[in-house]
Amino acid sequence: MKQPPSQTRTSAQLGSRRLFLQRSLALATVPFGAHALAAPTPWAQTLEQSRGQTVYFNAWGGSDRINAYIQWAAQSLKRSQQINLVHVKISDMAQTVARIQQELARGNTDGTVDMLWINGENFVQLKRAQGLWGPFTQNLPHMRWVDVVGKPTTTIDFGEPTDGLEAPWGMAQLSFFADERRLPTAPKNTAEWLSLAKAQPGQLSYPQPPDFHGTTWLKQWLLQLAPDTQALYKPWTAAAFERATQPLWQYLDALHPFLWRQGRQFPQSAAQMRELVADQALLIGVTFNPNEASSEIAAGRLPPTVRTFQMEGGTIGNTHFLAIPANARAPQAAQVVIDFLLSPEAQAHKADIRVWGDPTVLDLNALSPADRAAFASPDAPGGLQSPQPALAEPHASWVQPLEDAWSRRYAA
Amino acid sequence: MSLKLHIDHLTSPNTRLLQGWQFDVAAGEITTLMGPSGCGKSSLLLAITGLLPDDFSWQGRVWLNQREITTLPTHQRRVGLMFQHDALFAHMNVHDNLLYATPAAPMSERKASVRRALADVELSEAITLFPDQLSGGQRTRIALMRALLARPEALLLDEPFSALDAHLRERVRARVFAMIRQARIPALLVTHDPQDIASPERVLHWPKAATDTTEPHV
Amino acid sequence: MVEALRGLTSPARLTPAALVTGLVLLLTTGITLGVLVGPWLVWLDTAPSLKHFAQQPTLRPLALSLWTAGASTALAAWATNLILARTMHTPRHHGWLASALGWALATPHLAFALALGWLIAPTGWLWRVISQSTDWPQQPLDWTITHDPFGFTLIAVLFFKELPFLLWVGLAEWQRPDQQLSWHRQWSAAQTWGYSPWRAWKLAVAPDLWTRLRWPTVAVWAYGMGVVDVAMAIGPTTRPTAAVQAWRWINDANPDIQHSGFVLSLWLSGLVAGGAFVMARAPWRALSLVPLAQAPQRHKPVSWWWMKAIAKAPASVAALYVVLLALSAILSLSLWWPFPQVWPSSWSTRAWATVAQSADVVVTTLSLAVLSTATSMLMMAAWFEAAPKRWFSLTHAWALAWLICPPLMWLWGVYQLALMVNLQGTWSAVFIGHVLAVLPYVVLTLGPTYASFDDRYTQAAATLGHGYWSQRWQVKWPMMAGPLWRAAAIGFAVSVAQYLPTQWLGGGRIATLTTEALSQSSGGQRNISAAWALAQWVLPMLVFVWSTRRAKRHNPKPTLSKQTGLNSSV
Repeated sequence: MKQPPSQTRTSAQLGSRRLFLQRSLALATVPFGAHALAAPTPWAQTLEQSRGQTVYFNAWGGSDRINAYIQWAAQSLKRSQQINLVHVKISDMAQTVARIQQELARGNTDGTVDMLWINGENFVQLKRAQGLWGPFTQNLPHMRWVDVVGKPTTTIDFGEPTDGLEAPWGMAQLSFFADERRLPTAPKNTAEWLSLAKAQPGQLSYPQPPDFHGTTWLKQWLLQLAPDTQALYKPWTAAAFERATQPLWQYLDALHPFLWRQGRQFPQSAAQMRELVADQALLIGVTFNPNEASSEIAAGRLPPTVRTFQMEGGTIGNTHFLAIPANARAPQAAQVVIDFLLSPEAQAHKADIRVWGDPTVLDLNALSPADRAAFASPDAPGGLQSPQPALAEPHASWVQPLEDAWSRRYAA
Repeated sequence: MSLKLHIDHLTSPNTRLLQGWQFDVAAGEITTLMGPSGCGKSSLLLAITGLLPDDFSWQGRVWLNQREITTLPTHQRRVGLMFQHDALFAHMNVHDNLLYATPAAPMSERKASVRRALADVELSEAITLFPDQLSGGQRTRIALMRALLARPEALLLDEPFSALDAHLRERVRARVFAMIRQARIPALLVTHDPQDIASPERVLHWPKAATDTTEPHV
Repeated sequence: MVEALRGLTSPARLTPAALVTGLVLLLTTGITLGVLVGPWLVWLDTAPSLKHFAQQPTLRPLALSLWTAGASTALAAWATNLILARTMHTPRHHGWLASALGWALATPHLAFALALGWLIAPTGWLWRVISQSTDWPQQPLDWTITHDPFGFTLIAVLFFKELPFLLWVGLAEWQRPDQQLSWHRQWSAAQTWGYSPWRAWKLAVAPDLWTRLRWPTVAVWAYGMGVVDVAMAIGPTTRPTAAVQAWRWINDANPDIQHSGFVLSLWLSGLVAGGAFVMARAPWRALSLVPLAQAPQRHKPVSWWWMKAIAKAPASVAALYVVLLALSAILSLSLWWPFPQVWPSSWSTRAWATVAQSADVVVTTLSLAVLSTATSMLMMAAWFEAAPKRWFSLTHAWALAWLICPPLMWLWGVYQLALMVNLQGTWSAVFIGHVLAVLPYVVLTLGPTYASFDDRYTQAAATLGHGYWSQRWQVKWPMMAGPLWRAAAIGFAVSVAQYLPTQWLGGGRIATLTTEALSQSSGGQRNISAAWALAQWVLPMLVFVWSTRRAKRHNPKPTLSKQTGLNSSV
């Protein structure tokens, strides 16, 4: 599944923060785009219309905590708005994107999906195919709390402007966790990973692409190993791809024999990796949520000696989003759901490491003191000790070729 | 009360069994129909009751008490049939088997007639037994009571005693004939055993010239 | 034909049965045509390129499928042969065996596969026990046991699941009264000629038995080739079997890749049909040539050790099932269970709380199972009531053909039909898929029952003045109650275990115990996975026990001795 892309903050972008602000605000006020199916209505009307509607929310179902959070949101929405939020658990967003495109191709206006948890190349694909409803984020009252300035990836997704077609939901950054007792010093770069693998063969691995954790791991290594990282932020070309990935394949060819199962088999997901870490079959686990280890320790599923770390120089970070397909049956109710999920209450509950621990997209300084207090969480063991900067995601067009090339080389 | 039969032809998948015959059976009379085995006697009975298999065919007419029943469905003909094997329902005990046959009436009446019928054949103690717990003779008597409880207007019997031992056959046969005569309905008994003849003056023989081929096979 | 139609319209059989029969006929013909023709129409309509398919290595997935299905089928058949040969000595064990087999059959394949994975994976319970007793291994071994690239674990799962099925069918053939006597006589006679019991079996009984069992064996082969959920749970992942590969492609966003999936499933169906043809036509009777070629050795001592081992085999397999059930139960109640602990370090009912929260999944599973089974049984009962007995073998053949066709193939057509009437992603579409999946099993269990029912009972009822419906409600169906309940239990279990129809036709929106169990198994949390797998296991088990009770209550000994009917030696 292509998980929500992470916004990155390169030095180039820091300088043009104001430009981003202006652009996003301008985009947010554009009521009608080329997406003629959008027809924004005043918010009170939207609330009225959405009472009693059912919203089918297609979201990755591979994490029990996230599923529980969505259940909590569903219960709150049922109480306050009489909206039925149904979590359709999927494992690969590409399937849902395919289905939506099929339905649109048939002229189907009664879609099976009302809301999507999306980002990255999936978003780009749907946006280009006119498959998204909106722009709608300008309608949402809670949108004004989103930190578009401090977190520019909330309006630019894998290099593509969101244009109000998707609402940011949470922040993510590639992180790793390991049991301190078994790994006293964490590897900081690709060279140290390789030597660690050679020293302790069969103890390291990464999720099999196209699982989104695995793809991002691959992208991270690509960023570290490619001779010219600038090419990664431009649209893909075959020649650039060849040049950029050659060191990566060399590295992986050297690394794989020392991996778990000698690189002939890979864990199917980050969650499976976590189980293997808990069983001491693997040393290091992968996650997008820097607070995941803390949450798992709090839930008793990892020992308290687990620590989270990132690679020196930074790891890929992005924002994940919520969007509405063009042929959604209940777009009004979907907007209400998304607005609720952007509320300080919902964002605070999400950021609570006892629940999910997903970092918020809101600007904490812009909130009222009462709301801000809800985000204060006690120090929990296992958290990230030394956070590293969030690196920008490569251009969306690089993802599919990277996955295909990896599959051809190592999975065919 | 009488049973009148007029047959144009009766044909099995292979041969013509019967060509042009008619006879009637008077009330209270037990007419015995004799014929070699395999000539089609059982098929004739099936035709009268409307149970002839699809691959057989027959042309003819049947009257019961001046009412033509040729085209009626089986369950409306009021003609009872006693099979060679008793065909008691194995999943019901004796009481329920008999109750099943009683015509529509208040339940207490139906149960009373079941008990009376069992008393008539001196099998009251078998009322809760299941068919597989009964002996052959008991089963034949119960099957007969079941057929009679349905108050048929005519009764057909297809070699009903052939499954019984010789010494039992005498007693059961006498009993059965007495009950039929008491019920005063026409009865047609089909057999190939001359000992089964109910009354010597009413014996019909299967017409030999009616068959096409020399050796009828059924 | 004319007689048959006349029979259908004769007064006693008219209105309700004939109408429903006609409907059933139309429906199944329509769907069969749609299924076979639909994908081709879509293909011609969209004219996708075969470029993607041409680039893919399809030989390997197909070869892997052939290997896993072939090996598991052959092993299961061989073991069945051995076990049946052994139980010839001790017919009193048949009762125990038959009831134990029923329990094994009620176990869904997926739950079994997952549980076996939890037993033998490097982090599995087996290795923990070994680690505790021998101090090795300290850490989970880096061996590829589950999801191994050659599919050995997959073969093991298929073997342990199909062995009870073949045994059950074999026992059923064995227990037919006329069969048992003649086989026993022949087997005894062969021994008087100097053949050992085992050789006598091969000479006298095996050829005839396996000729009768060839279609169930083909069904086992077809299942092994076409299975997706079990292969995903425990089979190779990077280079999967053809069915899994086709399923992955079908679910891709790119239409070209989807059509590669269609083409691959065509190839798969072709292989299944080819294998079926070979197995059906194979000269099973040639099995007797082998012992004939060897002269009887009167004085050679019979080796008893392996006979004893074979005798223990059913008990061992049953023990395996029990161990896996217990393991799943303990796993579902555990919280923190690191390697190499043999018992969980901490316990929790959280996994079951999660399952209880999703009670709608259980309700969906139940509603689909009950309604699809009821519908199939009603349809087939109406069909068998109205159709002449001559058509029974045709119906049997149709059911077998449907069973052998890989689900990937016919689901394609049903999905296209669903898209046309805009039913995709709804409970109704999944319901139809389940009915189609359950139908062949219902036919195969109801057919022989109907064929062997002696019509003289209903004839007697008719002469007693009872009409069409009374004959059936009070006489015919109560007499068939045992087999009817069994057919219902089987249909229920089949529906609960369905994965592909639910996922494909439901568009992922309809969640059943099976889809949840599979998706959770890759989600990493073993206790939640175990809870779902156990729930999937227990539901058909309960229904099976309940229906066996009811079947036992209605178990009359027939009074009419000479049973006629179709010789169902299909």
